[in-house]
Amino acid sequence: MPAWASVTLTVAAVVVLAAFVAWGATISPNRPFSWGMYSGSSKGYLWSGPDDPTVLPPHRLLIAPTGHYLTVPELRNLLEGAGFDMPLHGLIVGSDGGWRVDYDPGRHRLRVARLPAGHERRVLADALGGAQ
Amino acid sequence: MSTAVPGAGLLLALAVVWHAGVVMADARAVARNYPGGRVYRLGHGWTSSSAFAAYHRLARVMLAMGGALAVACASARLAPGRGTATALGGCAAVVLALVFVNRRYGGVRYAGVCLAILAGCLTVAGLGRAVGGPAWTAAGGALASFFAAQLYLVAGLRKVRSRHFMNGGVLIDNLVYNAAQAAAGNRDFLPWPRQAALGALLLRPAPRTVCRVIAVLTALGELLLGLAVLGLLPAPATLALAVLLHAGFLLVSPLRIVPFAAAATGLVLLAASHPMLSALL
Repeated sequence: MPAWASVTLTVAAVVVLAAFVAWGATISPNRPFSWGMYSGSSKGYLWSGPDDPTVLPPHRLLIAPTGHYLTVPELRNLLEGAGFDMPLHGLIVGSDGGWRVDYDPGRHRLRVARLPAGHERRVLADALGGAQ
Repeated sequence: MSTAVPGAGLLLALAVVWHAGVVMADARAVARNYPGGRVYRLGHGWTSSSAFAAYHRLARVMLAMGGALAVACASARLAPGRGTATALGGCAAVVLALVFVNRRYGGVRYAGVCLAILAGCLTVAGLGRAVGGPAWTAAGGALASFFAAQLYLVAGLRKVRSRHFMNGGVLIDNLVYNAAQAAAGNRDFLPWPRQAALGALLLRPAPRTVCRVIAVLTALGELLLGLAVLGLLPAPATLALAVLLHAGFLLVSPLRIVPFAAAATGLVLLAASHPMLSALL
């Protein structure tokens, strides 16, 4: 390939790359083939009762072993089809703040309360400490 | 054929084999621990046992194909020629197709994109070398340079724009969650820090400062790597930066992030062999 063609091709590729980067930086990462990586987090810490000292691992919640990104809408969807007969309580903490969650299996009801902004980690520390 | 193409191919083979191994281990865990094999997959909803069984079968094919790719890469390194280049490119093309089929089950997102890109670049490098000569190996490298730059620049920009990431919050969230899960017997994560130390990690200023510094360095490192794979840094420095970054990511999730780390490092290796801006620099 002549040198001028190589330079022209490279300059064109740089322009396309700039547009590709700008697009990738703004799209949702929640797609099967995403060109943008997660830059946030949302973690669930759930317990099934006061006597259980450790958080529930994914299999106790019937969540796939790969599932480590729990949000409130996902928890709602999970509980709708899970048919759990165990109570659940805990926290969801992440980039969008924090929630306290309580599930009553008898009434099949999930209660969600937003944690005060800026206090999520204090509440989580108390919950993890209190659970030991 | 240069060392970069078979080297990148071996890293792709590692990524595919590891991914398949994790899926097969997950399938065994599901059969053992989930009543009726019914699984809730975040982002996908409920998955039946039959769908999970199909995913398991696909993983077996990927495992076999990863092995075949590794053999093809070793052959291409030891006996360079059209035949071995064709074998390498052909195996990479099959892996690319399997990644697309895997998308239906796994939704592997960023790791899937990275595997697909590397497989595509190796297909161009291998089959192109067999049909058109050594210039096509360079084309595979330039493609890898383009996509690796996009991957790291986007990752870095998204992190820089995320306040939660830049203040160290994402790292703290991951460390706390991983440690709590490890304490519950989850083998995906290292049992560190101990659960008794999580209060200090969450509340004391010093760990927060350390996490903030690591987060800022990570975002800047990814931006730098995005520019380096274009040819703005020497190849050894580019590779060292990639290995350093991905070794750090592996500490956060040692088991499941290996396919992404291996495929991304392979992509950087291929990119550094023929960076996109080499015509200008």
